[in-house]
This record gives sequence, C-alpha cells and structure tokens, in this order.
Amino acid sequence: MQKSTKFLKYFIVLFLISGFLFLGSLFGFWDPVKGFLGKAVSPVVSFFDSVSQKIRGGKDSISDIGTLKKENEDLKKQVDELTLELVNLRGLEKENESLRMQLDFSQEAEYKTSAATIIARSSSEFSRIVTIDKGSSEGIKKGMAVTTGKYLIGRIFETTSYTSSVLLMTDSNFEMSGLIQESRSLGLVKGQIGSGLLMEMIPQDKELKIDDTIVTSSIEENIPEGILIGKIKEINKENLGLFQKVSIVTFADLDEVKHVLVVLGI
Amino acid sequence: MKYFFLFLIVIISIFLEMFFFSSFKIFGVTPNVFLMLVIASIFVLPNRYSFIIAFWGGLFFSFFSHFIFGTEPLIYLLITLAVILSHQYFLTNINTLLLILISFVASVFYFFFIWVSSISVGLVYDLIYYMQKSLLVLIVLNSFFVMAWFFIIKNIWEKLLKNEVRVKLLR
Repeated sequence: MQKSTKFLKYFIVLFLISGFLFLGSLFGFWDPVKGFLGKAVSPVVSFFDSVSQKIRGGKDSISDIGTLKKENEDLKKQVDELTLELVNLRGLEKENESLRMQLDFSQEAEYKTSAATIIARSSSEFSRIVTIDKGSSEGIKKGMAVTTGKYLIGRIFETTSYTSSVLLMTDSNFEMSGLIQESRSLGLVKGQIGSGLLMEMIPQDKELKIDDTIVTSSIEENIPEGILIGKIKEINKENLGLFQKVSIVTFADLDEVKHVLVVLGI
Repeated sequence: MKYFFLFLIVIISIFLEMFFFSSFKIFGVTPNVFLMLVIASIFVLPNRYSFIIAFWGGLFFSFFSHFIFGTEPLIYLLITLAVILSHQYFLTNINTLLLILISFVASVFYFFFIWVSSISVGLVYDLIYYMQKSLLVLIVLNSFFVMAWFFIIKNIWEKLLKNEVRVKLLR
C-alpha cells in the first residue's frame, strides 16, 4: 500500500503541472514561453531534422538510380523546348513593359516575405503539419501562405511568439481558393485524405486539360494571386452535377522542403 | 551514470520518432517509439522514473506540436498510470505476449487521444479511415519497439545497478 501511494504522489504532482500548463495555454499564457523555449532549442532540433532529411535523401538516391538516366534524357528535351519558349516570352515581356509605360500603368505590387526554416515535422498519423522558426513577433499571422519561394506548400495554422505551425497542402483540413491559369477558372483547393490534393467547385462549363497550371487566386485575404500550387493530374466531371473536380500534383515536394518563405502580405 | 542512461534513451527515442521515422516512415506509418519506451520502462525501472520520462518527453513533444501546450504530457502520464496500475493489480507476471498486449492497448488509446486532441484545435480527421490505413501496422511496429526497449533497458539497467552496488561496497 505504501508503494502505491509513493508513485501516485509523483503522478499527481506531474499531472497537476501538466494540467496547469494545459489550462494556461487555453488562455494564451504560455505562448511566449512555449515560443521562446521552442526557438531556443530549435538549432538542435533543426540539426536533427537535417540529419534525417539527409538519410532520407540518401535512401531515395539509391532507389532512384535506375530511373535517373531516362529522367535525365526527358529533362534535356524539356530544356530545349523551354529555351525556345523563354525567348518568345522575353519578347512578350518587353512588349508588355513598353505598352504599360505608354498607358502609364503603375508597377505591380510585390509582396513582403519572411524567410524561415522548418525545425520539426508532425509525427502524428493524422496531420501533415510542420513547425517553422518564425512567429508572431516577426509579423506572422494565422492564414498566411507559406512557399518554397516559387511554390506554395501550405498556410500558417497557429503561431506563438517565436515559432509557427504550417498546415501543409496535403493535410485533409487544408483549404484555399485557387485559379486554373489557362481557363481562368476559380475553385477550391482542398487537401485530401491520404496526402493528395483536389480542386473542387469548378464550373462544369470550363474547359480543362491535363497539366493545366493551378495558382493561388486573389480572393484570399493577404495572399497574392499567382503563387504556383500544382498542375492537373486527373479530371472528374460529374454528369449531372454543377461542378467538376480535378486531382492535383503539387510542384513542391512537401517532404523535402527545409527552407520556406512566409508571405506577409501585399 | 543511471540518470545519464535514462537521459540518453529518452533523447534517442525522441530523435527516432520525431525526426527519423517522421521522414522515413515504415509502410507509411511513424511508430510511437517514445510511448513504447515509457511502457517498457514501467516493467524495469521504478515507477517514478516512468512518470518522469513520460512528463519530460511529453513536454518536449509539446514544444513543437500544434496541440494545446501540455497535451502530450497529460496523455503520456495517463497511459503510464493505467499501465502501472494494470501491472500492479492484474498483469503481475510479465512475458512477451503480455508486453505486446499492453503495447497494443496503449497504442490504440494513444491513437484515439491524438485524434481527440486534433479536434480540440479545430482539425477534423476521419478516424475510421486512419484506423483502417495505419492502426494495424502501427501496432505491429510498436510491438517490435516495446520488446526492443524492454530488452535494452532491462540489460543495461541491471548492469548499472550492479556497478553501483560494487562501487558502494568498494567504498
């Protein structure tokens, strides 16, 4: 009986401390502490994350050797095609600039960003969430878009003073308004169970093609239009429905990303 | 030396779960390496050490998780208490099958607690889908880790205790 009482005392004390932390957190008391201590440990945590990324990279390299040669040849062909397209686009860009100057258009606004590093990834089976080493003290707010610089990876889900949680696109709770560039169709980009990505609520009358590009739309507050999300992999037209939906393959490799940019606003 | 050993195994288990296996999943699943360490420790170490490990490891996870701060220590402490009470009053003679059974039950409870914690922060997940997709593989992997930890802790802890006795006698 004496033995039981002794371990119960440890349990009660630690449980009360945890309960105190939990209740305090509900009212936001511990956010600065959590953020500060998380940031303080983040160099070590980030180091371990880098080590595991390198191990993963090594494993992927070995298993990919067989396909690399073919991929290399395909990419060389693509480079030739893209070089030609680039030349044409440069010509169009110059013409556009000249026309803008003639019509006295104002410069397109550039958006402000904040660079951050992923320091931890959720080990839960359910969520696809990563933690970055920037928080509300650096101007980061819930809902902001997070990119690799070129491609969208997710949006800010929660912030503390010095760290933030990013909900990745492939989490089933992710939602963002999207735009198909070629047809200018709006829709809702949603994470899918099983780490996929869908775009729904696209009007049936819009003509869509495989490999059409999907970007962020201007509807979302503080998220600029045009951040690349992915391209269409599969089209699903429901015969009697008002809308169609598409499966998306993301441009960004969400498991490999380490350094990100948080879009602070336009 | 005893405390350094405890510190080391906690760090290793956190590293394996939070970094290695979250990037390098086994059949799409991250095993609960730290939870299995806590469970294995209950059958080897004094109970107070299991609570301390559960609390500090849970707190570390809490710093970097999206759940309400303090959630993980609460979950780990509750599971630790349940296993200790079961061990004391029902499952007194430990063997491999019992260890696997306990790890199975603890894994299911942990899975469910994490799902509830996700809802508490506004993230709703299809529990049935994830149970069908991950739970069986998770239980198998967790069984492996609980036995591995039990073997490691039991052997090294006994050697450390013997050394401690020897040192005290020499003094």
